Amino acid sequence: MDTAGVATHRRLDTQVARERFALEAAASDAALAASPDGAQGWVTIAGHHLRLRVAGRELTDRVPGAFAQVRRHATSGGALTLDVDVWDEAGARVGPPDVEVWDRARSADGRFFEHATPHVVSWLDRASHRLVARVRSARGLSPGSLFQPFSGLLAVWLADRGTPAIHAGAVARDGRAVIVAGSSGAGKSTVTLSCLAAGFDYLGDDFVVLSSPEGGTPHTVHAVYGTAHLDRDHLARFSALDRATEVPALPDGNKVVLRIADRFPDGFTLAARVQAIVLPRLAPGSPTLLRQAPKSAALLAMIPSSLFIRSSATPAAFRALAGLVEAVPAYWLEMGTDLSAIPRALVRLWPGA
Amino acid sequence: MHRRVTANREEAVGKILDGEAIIINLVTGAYYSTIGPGAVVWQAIEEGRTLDDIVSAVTRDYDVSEPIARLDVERLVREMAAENLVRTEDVASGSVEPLPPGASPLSRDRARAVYESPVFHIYRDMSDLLALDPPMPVFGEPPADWESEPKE
Repeated sequence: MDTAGVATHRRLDTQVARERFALEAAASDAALAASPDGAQGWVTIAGHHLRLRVAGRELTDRVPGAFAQVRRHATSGGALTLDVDVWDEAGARVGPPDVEVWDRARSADGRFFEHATPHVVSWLDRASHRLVARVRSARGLSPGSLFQPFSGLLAVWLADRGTPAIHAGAVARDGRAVIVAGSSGAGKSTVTLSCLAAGFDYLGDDFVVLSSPEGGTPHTVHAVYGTAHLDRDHLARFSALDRATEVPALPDGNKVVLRIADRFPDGFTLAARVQAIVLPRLAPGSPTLLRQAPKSAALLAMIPSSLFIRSSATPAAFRALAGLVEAVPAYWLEMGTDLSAIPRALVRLWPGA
Repeated sequence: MHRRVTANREEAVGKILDGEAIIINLVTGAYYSTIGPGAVVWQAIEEGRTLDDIVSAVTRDYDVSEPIARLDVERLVREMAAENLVRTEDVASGSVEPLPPGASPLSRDRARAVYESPVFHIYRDMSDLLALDPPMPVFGEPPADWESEPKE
């Protein structure tokens, strides 16, 4: 059974999807060939390699800069590679026919996936391991709008490799991590950034990847993007983060994006062994405290956004999520207003800390 | 003849944690939970038990009479069937493995636990969201040679 994306994507006729992908891929090839100022880099996530090729001057810093780590050369080893090609349609002045502004579609046979937003049209071919992303107009982008580029399609490809992405943050000390899970607004960024400010290693605030040896334990959490995303009103509470580059996520929005990886290289780590799950809950006026949560509560908290939005809704992805929850303890983190109390509460999860 | 209840593996997948069954419908995005006797019922369904065996599993683990357990099990199975999580079929006697003796792994000890009628919690926050983007009713199997297809 291939149910990837079943619940979240409209169906496209397979032949139509194949032709649309071919058009997008051909246009991407032409743009890359014609771009004298393109860039290429390599990203490794949970042992899987991405070859990132970018055409268009406005995109050459922005797209690679969103990832936690980009290398200039391939790593030796025969691991499967996802080719990720990104190009600027306005800069190239050519392009395939336009599509709906907002769209999530999947071919009937499950091979091709399309995600379209007002800014980017992205296609994934799961068979040839290729992702093409057409930025409608790089000049029209707000600075932070590519803070997690093509995360939805990347999640599909990573789930195919047995390494599902989850809608969660993660912080670590001494190579051991806690997953910070919950729906949007639960406080994931507040927890991870307050821990970063207190000297914890940071892996992400919203999108991380899990791996485990052949479905067993221990689980490892992997960083993908080197960014954080939070309300501008909250940013003022994180004075320790004033070194981070801050850009607006959208011109008319209150969200800002922080480039964490490039400004806090010592505070960033790419992978760590998972030792607990933390479920933040806002409790204004109350002291910040940690208390054990039922494993079922952790799974229920993680299913909606991790399985249906951030990852690929398959039995394997569910089992991976359930396997993580079964393997490590879960805790509620009742959060008061004192940010410094958050890392003080969490540090007790590290024996001897 | 017996009525056997099985999980609809085309759409449903579940996990029992701390005596609570968490089940999701991969097609609709709805997800579910049921604790105690409800988790015993789900475990028996995943094992493809008959309705009679599911009732026996509940009365074996919980301090409840057979008629009350049967009413609750039949209601729970109807609720799960309405969500397309389970399928029922009539099978000949002797075609199903007998229920193993002793308490199930879900019961904490061999003493029968205090019984409360199982509640089937339904969470539709995702399915409501996904209703804006309707799910596909039928899905084809992917080509077997996908992984071997070379890059162009």
